[in-house]
Amino acid sequence: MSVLVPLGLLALISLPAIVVLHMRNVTPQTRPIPSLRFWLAANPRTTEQTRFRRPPITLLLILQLLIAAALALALARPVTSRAMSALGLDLRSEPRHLILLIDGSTSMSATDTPDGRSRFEAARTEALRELSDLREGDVATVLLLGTRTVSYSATDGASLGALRERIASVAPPGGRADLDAALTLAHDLLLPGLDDQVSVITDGAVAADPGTADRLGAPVALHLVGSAATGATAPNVAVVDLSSRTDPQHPAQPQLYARLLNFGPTAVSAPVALDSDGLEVSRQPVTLPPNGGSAELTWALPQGAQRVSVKIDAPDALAADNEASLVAQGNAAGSLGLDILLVSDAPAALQRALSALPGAQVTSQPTDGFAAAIAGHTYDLIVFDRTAPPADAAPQPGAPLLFVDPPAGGPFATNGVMTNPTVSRLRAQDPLLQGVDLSGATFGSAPIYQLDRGQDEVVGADQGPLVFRDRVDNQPAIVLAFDLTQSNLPQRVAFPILIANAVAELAPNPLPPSLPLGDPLAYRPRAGAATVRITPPDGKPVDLPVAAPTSTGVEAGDSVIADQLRDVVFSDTGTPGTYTVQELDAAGHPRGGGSFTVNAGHPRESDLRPNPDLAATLARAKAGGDVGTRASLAELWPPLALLGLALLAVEWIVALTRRRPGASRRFAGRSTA
Amino acid sequence: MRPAWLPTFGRGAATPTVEAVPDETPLFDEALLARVRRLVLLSGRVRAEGLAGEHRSRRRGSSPEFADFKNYSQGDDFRRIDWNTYGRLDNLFVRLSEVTTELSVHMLLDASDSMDWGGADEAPTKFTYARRVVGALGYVALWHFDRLTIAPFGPDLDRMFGPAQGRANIVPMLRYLETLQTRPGTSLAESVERYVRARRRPGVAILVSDLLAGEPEDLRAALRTLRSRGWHAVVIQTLDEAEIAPDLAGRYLTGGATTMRPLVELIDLENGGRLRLTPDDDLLGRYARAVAGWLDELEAAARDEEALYIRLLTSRPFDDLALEALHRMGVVA
Repeated sequence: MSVLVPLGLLALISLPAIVVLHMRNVTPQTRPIPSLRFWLAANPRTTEQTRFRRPPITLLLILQLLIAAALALALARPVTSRAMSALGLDLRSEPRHLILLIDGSTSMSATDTPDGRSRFEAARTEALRELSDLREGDVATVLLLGTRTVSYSATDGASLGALRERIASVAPPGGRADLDAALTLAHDLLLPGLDDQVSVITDGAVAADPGTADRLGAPVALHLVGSAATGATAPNVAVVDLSSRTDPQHPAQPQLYARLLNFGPTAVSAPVALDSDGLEVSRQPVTLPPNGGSAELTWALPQGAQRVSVKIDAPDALAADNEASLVAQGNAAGSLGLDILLVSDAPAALQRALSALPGAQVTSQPTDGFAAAIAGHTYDLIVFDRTAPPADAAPQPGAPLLFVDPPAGGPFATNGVMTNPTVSRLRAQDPLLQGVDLSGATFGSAPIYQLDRGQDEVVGADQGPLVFRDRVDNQPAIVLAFDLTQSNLPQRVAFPILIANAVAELAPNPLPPSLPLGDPLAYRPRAGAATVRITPPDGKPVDLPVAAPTSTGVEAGDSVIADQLRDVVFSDTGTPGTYTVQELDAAGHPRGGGSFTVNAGHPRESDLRPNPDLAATLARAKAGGDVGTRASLAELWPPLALLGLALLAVEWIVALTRRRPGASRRFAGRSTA
Repeated sequence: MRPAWLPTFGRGAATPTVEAVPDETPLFDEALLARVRRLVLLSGRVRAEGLAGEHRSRRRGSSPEFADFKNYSQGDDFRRIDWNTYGRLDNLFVRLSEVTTELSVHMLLDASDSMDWGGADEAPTKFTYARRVVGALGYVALWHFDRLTIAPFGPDLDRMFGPAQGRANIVPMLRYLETLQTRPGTSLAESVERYVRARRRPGVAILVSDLLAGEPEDLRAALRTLRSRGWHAVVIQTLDEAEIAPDLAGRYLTGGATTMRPLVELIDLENGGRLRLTPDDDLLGRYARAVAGWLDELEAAARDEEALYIRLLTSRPFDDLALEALHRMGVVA
């Protein structure tokens, strides 16, 4: 035991002072009696009127000494080990600051608790129990871990009640819980002078970095729910990956790939069904080895399918990750609108090909009006036909470029002219040429462009490239190095396909076909979009504003930053299902839309097994500095002060009793002084 | 045959109602009065006189109460011849009746300040207790048509009640007792002598006092005065238990604290004398011995002067133990 305010012990000098006061010979108390005769006959000794007398051992003196001692000790603020709390004293030196980390990840939706509730419901009950221990003056901060960590706080009784109500009704955010980030945030939230305590309520299926725990600066109490708390093992199988890809054997045939994992202790044999737009097109049995065993399945992507899903029919603790789906990009209904600027003096062929693209809005502009065209307007794609942006006018930041027969002296170096070139080099698997048949195509007279490193030829003749990729002002660019008016390509069916492939490459659909659970959606909206409206599976749309692009006053190096400012990040992807995306212009009119899916299956979240190292890792967290030292102590001044007050009350009663001898009432008014 | 002096139950005057003294226990209540109504004062050697009382007498005369027959002799009243007996026995007999007499009861009440004291809250003061004694005995006397006089005394005789006779005086008597106040100073012997000298006929003198004033010889002198003039004296000493029990006396002085021996200053209620002392066990022991010796001397004085001596403690319930003591000592029957 030690004292926090040693000066308070000076109050102990009141003890001898009290004794001295009691040693004084004070005026005797008077007692009226019927007659003095017998007292005189008893021959009492004459009492000497000395200044002091021997200390009388009286009840009042003892009580007063105890009161003074208790209050003096209380002033000194003695502290002792918090272990005394185990004796039921429940003493605390500082107000508590409870930082409650509640795991709201998808794995918390598993229903493997003894009473059949979900893990999150059990965590909610535990959280409310922790909050109920707080008193007036305590501070509570709740971090709800999910795809996006949400924090709530309460600093007084009213807000604490509101916090309890909020926790009692909050829905699990889902997604993946980043415990390290939450612990780092908790470290930043520590309040000086308060007894900071961190409680982590989780199913244990999370990982924590020992270094993060070391830096936390507050002790961590781990509360496990679900199978981790009961010691049981929850079986779970999941579709952890579903994607479309090109069939290695048949490049023209897209392929559907699925990966299934079994995290249970026993092997699982179950049928796996493939649905295409709601119709089951395939079903096959699969056997998954135990303890993380996997199986990989592939299908040919059904023609024309817009949404496909794979489902394994096996009952387990977490049903949400038994199915995964994706939106087939090429076949998805609807697309994001494209604003295309065509700078050409003879735009007929290109105009037709570009206008045929779904959702495309083509603005044709003569070559001399380019500067006026990009002023005050943004485009998703700029097509230069036999022209190039002026050297003193940078093209719009963020807009990819398609050049057709760029002039000599432009952004691409030339070295002469080739006449009637024929295709001699061709990159067969290049997506730009997918479905493009160049046989029989003539190109007339075309400049010979000198390709540097970084420029990527796709189609070439003997003298020079006919189609190549490049970057202009940090923007991707595709160059058709021949004059359309001298080529027969615009009259061939390959031309609109080539243009469509070029546009798809330069301005691809930014929406992913699917996202793993909790991964944020980050994409760059089309140039004309002012707002992106994302509707999650729960049907509550979220409007995200899009930063306006800047085309003037931006240095070349800043254009990338300006582009990134337009990126839209949507992080509430903790709920599995289909998310629809709609882009709105400044007037609120829809410009196009798309969708993507979020699948619950994830190699980490679907693994319901608790992390065996979690408890040891979190145990590394210790209280830091003086606050921690003081927090580990319990102050004794409250009970001492209460003891002093109680003794004071007793002393008061005793003193009153002494002043009320038996017959005093009868002698009221008599002169007894 | 029912003796004439026995009280009548449930008949006669209405039961008096006595208002309570503020902050104190009422002097009398209905239960107490109903109980004392059954009692009768014993006169002892004092000759009862008068014709209106209810006390039996050796005198025979004309009254409704039959006493005996005697042979007719010349001069007897013809009206008192019992003709029915003459018819049966053929002899003349005269009916003799018992003449009931009254008793003169004199209550001398000590009203000095020493009486207005009590050592504990739960017990009444000695003066309150003494007034109850006087009231109860006075009630008995008036109920049985005795002549009652109540004479409070302090340094001298105070305003008296009576002589009064008859049940109609019960309520005034009780109200009179309620209005009595104590005064400082006591002169027992002088007051008794002055009172006796003012009375031609002796009676029953009941002295109610704590007897703290003066020495036992003063009491002896007062009783001798009474005896010499044919009075029947009864001495009822009212004391508080804290006056005679050393432990209670110590508790009173220390205010109830058992571990303390504080310095206290005693004030004599009678003369204002002061004495400082520290009540220790030795002192309390000597005090107890002094009190016991004094009580013995008082008892001896009463015995020597053929007076009835009764000691009543205020801690004892009046309607139970006190009346029983009065009955046992022959004051009431």
